[in-house]
Amino acid sequence: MSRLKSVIIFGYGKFGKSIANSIKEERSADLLIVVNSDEEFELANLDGLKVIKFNIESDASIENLDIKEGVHLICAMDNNHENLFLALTLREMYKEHYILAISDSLHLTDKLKMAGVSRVIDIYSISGNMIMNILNKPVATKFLQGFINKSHNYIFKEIPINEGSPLHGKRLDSIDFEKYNIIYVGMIDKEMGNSFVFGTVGYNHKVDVDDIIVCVGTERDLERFRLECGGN
Amino acid sequence: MAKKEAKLNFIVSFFLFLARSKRYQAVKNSLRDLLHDPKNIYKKNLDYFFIFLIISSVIVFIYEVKNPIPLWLEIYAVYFTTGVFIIEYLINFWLYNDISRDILHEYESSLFLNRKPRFLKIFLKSLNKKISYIFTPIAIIDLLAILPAYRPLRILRIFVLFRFLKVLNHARSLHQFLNVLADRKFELITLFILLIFVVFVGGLALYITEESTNSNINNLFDTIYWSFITITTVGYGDISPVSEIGRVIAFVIVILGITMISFATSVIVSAFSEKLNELKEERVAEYISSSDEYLIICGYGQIAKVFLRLLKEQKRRYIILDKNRERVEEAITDGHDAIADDASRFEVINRLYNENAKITLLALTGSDIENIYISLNAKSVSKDITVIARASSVKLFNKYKRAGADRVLLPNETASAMMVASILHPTMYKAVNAILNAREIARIEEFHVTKESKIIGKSVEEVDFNRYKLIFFGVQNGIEGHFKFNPGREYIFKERDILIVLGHKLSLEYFKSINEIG
Repeated sequence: MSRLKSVIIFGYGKFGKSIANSIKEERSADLLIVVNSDEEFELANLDGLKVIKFNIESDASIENLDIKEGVHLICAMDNNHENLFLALTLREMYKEHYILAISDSLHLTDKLKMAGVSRVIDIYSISGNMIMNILNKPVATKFLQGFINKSHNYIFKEIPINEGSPLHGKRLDSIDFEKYNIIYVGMIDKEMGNSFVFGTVGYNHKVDVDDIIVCVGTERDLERFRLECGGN
Repeated sequence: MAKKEAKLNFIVSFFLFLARSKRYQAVKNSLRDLLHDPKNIYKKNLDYFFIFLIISSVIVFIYEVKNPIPLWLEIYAVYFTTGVFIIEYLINFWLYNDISRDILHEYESSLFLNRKPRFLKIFLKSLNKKISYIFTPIAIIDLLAILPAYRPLRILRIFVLFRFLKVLNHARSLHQFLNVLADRKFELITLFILLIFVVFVGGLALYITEESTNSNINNLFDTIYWSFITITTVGYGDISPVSEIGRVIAFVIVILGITMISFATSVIVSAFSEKLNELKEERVAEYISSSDEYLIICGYGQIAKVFLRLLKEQKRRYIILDKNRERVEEAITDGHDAIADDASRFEVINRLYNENAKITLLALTGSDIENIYISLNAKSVSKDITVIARASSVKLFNKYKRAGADRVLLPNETASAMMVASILHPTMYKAVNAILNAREIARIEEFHVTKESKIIGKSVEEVDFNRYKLIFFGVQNGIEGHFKFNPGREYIFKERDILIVLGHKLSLEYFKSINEIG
């Protein structure tokens, strides 16, 4: 199983709460909520989350959080000005951390990117794209969205190839995915770098230890495949 | 009941037969739509045809006054055009009301109330209503437009003018002009009465003053004529005052004339400027609803703006509805067709509805209450309107579904889910994101199997998606059908199947062309 990831969400307003709920459901991350208002502090406490208060204008207050390497930082404060200020502060203090932020305006997205945020999730771009996809490909969009909002039982799963995997040294075309009722989508072939290569490229990869295969199927079928083919 | 019906006389039976005949009613409705429904796709062409007939025949009539015309032109202008106008007149007369339905209604009422039917009374009432059509302004113009064709009486040619008036029935801009004037009826009638009064008083004053001294004035009509020509600032000069008092009267009349003309102009101009937006919006609404497929976008906010930016590359017709005039102005400045109106009102959506078109309504306002109301309103206009609504929270999902929304957008939840996926399942996130954003290398496509498709009757194994470097996810039968994920190599494709396939843009296009799939 993958290692537990650490996530800090700054803010527990409409976005922070929604993100925290999604992470809680996944149960695969260590979550900390950091807020600057008593109201949000109470709310997060009531929801049974680990929560700390901080002062956004004080760098010392953020330093006291003692953020370790590899922790994912999410700027999700409802006030856009505060959110941007926080993103700038965090990037200034943590040069290598993965910082994410939510944006609810076209102009804010650009500003957050300029502030050094690693990934900005733009609500309106997502919605605009979604409408367009629904109009052009309603069935395909419903299927794809199901992965995000879990409206169907199929998931994308990364299956790491570990030592002892029977797939080690095999070519992709010799693997029977149908036996497990799963669909091969693509993989990260370490020999070819760290990028994800879609199966649509048609390249017949040689599977090695440390590669990651991405498949689609039900959790049960994918887990069966991982147990039988993933190795130790 | 059959016995009772048998006793009815022949005429009543005939009317009942007509009222119950589906074919008869269908023909009548189709003709009504064609002649009177602005949303009918053929009406515009029919109007152009009539305008052409009117103008061309009038030109022939005018030319004919001094010059001989060839026989074919006479047949065209006199017999053909007039024939068409007579047919139109008779059809309008027929469509004006439905005697057979009135008779049927009376028959059913009498059965229900167990009383004697009053067919003669109802027939006469209905007939009376039909005859009243002849006296409507439109029917009078139509009838007068037919008269110039009557050759023995050359005087009837003066009615060629009415043929021009007939254009009013077919040219909407002229219709709208008259409607604007009708809105200012009170002011214009007041002005007209004032004009008549001043003309009469001015004429009378000059008559009394100069009747004996001015050689150009023979009777009261001459002075009233002078007064009218002066007040309208035309001033031919054939009659003019010769005394000082007469000239003072002329001063007064000229001043009153200028005042009244200015007033009339300002009344008409202000009526037009008030109606201008309405007229423009009416035109836009008609233009949109005349197409086969279009979008109604309710609310010009951030989502709508992003969506419209993406829509630019596609040739879809759309119209924006927003209650807020400022946002509508902004949309118009941004180059979109927009109307300032309330999408939650039945008549607003109904005005944009065309039963022959595929309509998608996007409820994208910032308020859930508004969006739910708009969704319900659209579905009450027609169940066939596809509604995509934006919800602020997943808790409202069921309310939207109950209101009839076919798809519910949850921007906040989707953004949160994507953010979480990007942290916890980065590879999956990258894959879905790449697919959602239609990257060339991994584009998801849905292929609709039509009866021409070559894959009908073939199995998944026979189609061999690997050959095209495609990933076949699954299949659904029809838009509302059940989605079958990874159906297995034995699955046989059939008509109306929708295939969900992932592939490179080129692979998808190749697969599409080889298998003649939609």
